[in-house]
Amino acid sequence: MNSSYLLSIVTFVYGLGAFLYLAAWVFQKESVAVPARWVTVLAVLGNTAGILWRWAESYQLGIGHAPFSNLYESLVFCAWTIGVLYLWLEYRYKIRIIGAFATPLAFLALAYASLSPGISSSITPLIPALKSNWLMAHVVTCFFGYAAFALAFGISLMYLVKLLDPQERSRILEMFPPQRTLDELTYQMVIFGFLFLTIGIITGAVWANSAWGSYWSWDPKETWSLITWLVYAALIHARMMRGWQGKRIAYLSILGFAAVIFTYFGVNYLPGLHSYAQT
Amino acid sequence: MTLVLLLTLAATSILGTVIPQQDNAAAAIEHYGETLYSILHFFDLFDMYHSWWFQVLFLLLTANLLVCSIERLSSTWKMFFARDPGFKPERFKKQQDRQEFTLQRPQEEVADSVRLLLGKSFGKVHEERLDPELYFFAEKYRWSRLGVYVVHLSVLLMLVGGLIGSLFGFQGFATIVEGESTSQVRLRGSDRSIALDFAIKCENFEVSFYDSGAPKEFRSDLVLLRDGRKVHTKSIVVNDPLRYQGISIYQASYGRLPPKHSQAEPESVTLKIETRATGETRTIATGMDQTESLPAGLGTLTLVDFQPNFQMRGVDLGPCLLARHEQAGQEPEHILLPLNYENFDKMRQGAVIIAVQEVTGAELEHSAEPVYYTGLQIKKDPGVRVVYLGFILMIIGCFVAFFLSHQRICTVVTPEGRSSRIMISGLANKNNLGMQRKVKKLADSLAEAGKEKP
Ligand code: HEM
Repeated sequence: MNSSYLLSIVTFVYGLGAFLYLAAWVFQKESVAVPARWVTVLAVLGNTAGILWRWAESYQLGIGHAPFSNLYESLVFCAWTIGVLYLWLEYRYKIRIIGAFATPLAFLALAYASLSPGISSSITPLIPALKSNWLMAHVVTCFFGYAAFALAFGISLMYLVKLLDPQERSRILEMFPPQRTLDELTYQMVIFGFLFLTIGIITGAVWANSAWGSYWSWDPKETWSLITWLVYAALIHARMMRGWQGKRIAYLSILGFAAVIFTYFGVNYLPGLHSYAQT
Repeated sequence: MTLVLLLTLAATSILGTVIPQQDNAAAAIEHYGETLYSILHFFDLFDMYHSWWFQVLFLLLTANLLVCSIERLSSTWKMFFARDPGFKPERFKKQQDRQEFTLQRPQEEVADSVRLLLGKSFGKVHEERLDPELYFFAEKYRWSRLGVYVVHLSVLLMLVGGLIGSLFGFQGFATIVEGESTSQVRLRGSDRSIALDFAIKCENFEVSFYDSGAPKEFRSDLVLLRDGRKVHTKSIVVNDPLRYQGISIYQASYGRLPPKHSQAEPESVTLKIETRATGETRTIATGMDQTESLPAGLGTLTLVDFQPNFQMRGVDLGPCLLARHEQAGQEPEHILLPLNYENFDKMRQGAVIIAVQEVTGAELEHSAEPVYYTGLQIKKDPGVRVVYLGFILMIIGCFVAFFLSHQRICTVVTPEGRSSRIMISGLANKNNLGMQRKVKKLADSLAEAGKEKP
């Protein structure tokens, strides 16, 4: 038994949580959402344990670094941030059905990490450039940003799905919170994510400045995070100044999330400083 | 306009990540073809982040930002410094989310509770009596309206900082062999170099490896010399640069010098010749430019050249002899004989296998320790402070702009005989959901307080 074994079990716990949330939604049984939450809490706890364990393992191997250094570790952390942020959202706003659109994302991230043959879960030593405290701040803040955008994406999808049925005749969609709430929640998640992405880009720039002597070098990953940032900045301006709401904001939020996904996965196919994440 | 600019910048930035940014024109022509290349080149797409049109986009955004912000700041400013917040009850009374209810208590008692409650969460409370109604107003975070301008200011600071850096700074590179020094810095992206007014000496270089062979850490012990005097000493590793008088020196890379060898040609050479077919071996003594005949009619062999450092496809083979093998009816063949690798010629799969057994004359001093050179990134960027200030303001500004809202609250208490009618309503410049919840909470605690005291 080791940490990656534990994490593959956690994958199925997330899967079960997602399944229960979806069941609660499709069969319109709010009561099922309660066990769904507890299963998700369990998954997040297991995920936390997995990360800490992996951290300890890296010290036993004499390598000793925080588990944020390759694609596997970042996906594990990504699932964790989505889980934590979702639970906070549910606690804060007491809306359970969003779980049906949020927990599957955590499940997918972890499933991809655990099951994809191309992703190695072995603990590897850090190349010298990655040995920096800024790295940790950079990764943690970026992923909170990404997780918030992922939730915004899920909520935007709910908003658009709800639009398909303006007369509210569908019983299934009746379970969704009112459109106004969904719209507001999308925006709350976007600004939360924007703040963290901003801090993430800034800590990344500070780190690059200490490692390579240049805070911005238009490397593809940097450029793509800037693109993502600009899309969300456009969303925020559209909303604050033009009073855009609803559908158009939902579309922009989906566009922004597409940029997030590309920043995360697509960039590995382009050459650049961050290509370490390929391992 | 802002939307269009932001999205255009985002869209055009994509181009630069798809088209590799490079300065190798020949490779690019080969890849894209002549016509496409000239179109791409015209738009500077191989260095687009420094191209005129990309910078014009940035400039437009900056101008837009400045104009809008200054225009709007003046009205925000007036509002910010207004002594009298200028509450207009009508606006509050029209609010959808207002709360109205009746308490079985006289106006004065209710007024006391309101003062206490509003005072607790909003600080100062303004009162106005328009008989018979009693109005209470309170507000907080008025200054948060400035958050947006802090964000915009930070964007300007970053751009200005970047500009300062590119105008008054430089980015360069130097390689220094262990024990040597230089004051020349090759500039990045051009073939010019500049001279520093001090010399950088690399006293020692050290690299350690993981078991996997990947480098773990590399370290240069640097000394800065001015007119031969030491002015600064520091060991640098990746992520821990040296800073001296505005100039920063980063550990960027390292390499190994090929070991030094004597340039002198060997006087005599002993070769071992093996016939592949029979496995028979014999040794022959020869010298440079002497032709020897090989056994069993395998032709003749002449040593034609000696190279103290032979590089084959980037691999350093050390000292090598070059021999010419001639056989009747065949093209002459050149055979490479590295002195340090006896079995090298087996790979050729020839009819004879030749190995160098002994050499005299060429002093082949193998330096026991490999000599390293260190690759240093050297830069001066006086704009960094400005950019970092921008970073800090950006984070603070975003936080204020997003999560603090200017909240105003109005409570009206109207007497209705022995009871009072209460209206609570709030206005916020953002996060209306939050304000709505707050109004509800205030109403609840007020109702609660009304019940407690009989
Ligand atoms: C990061 C958070 C940002 C927030 C919250 C924000 C917010 C705002 C707001 C509220 C306005 C309207 C001004 C007013 O009402 O007085 C505005 C205008 C503007 N913002 Fe931002 N902004 C942000 C970032 C940026 C960035 C990064 C840029 C550009 C690089 C930018 C460029 C502009 C421009 C050019 C305007 C004027 C637009 C016009 O009136 O057409 N903003 N912004």
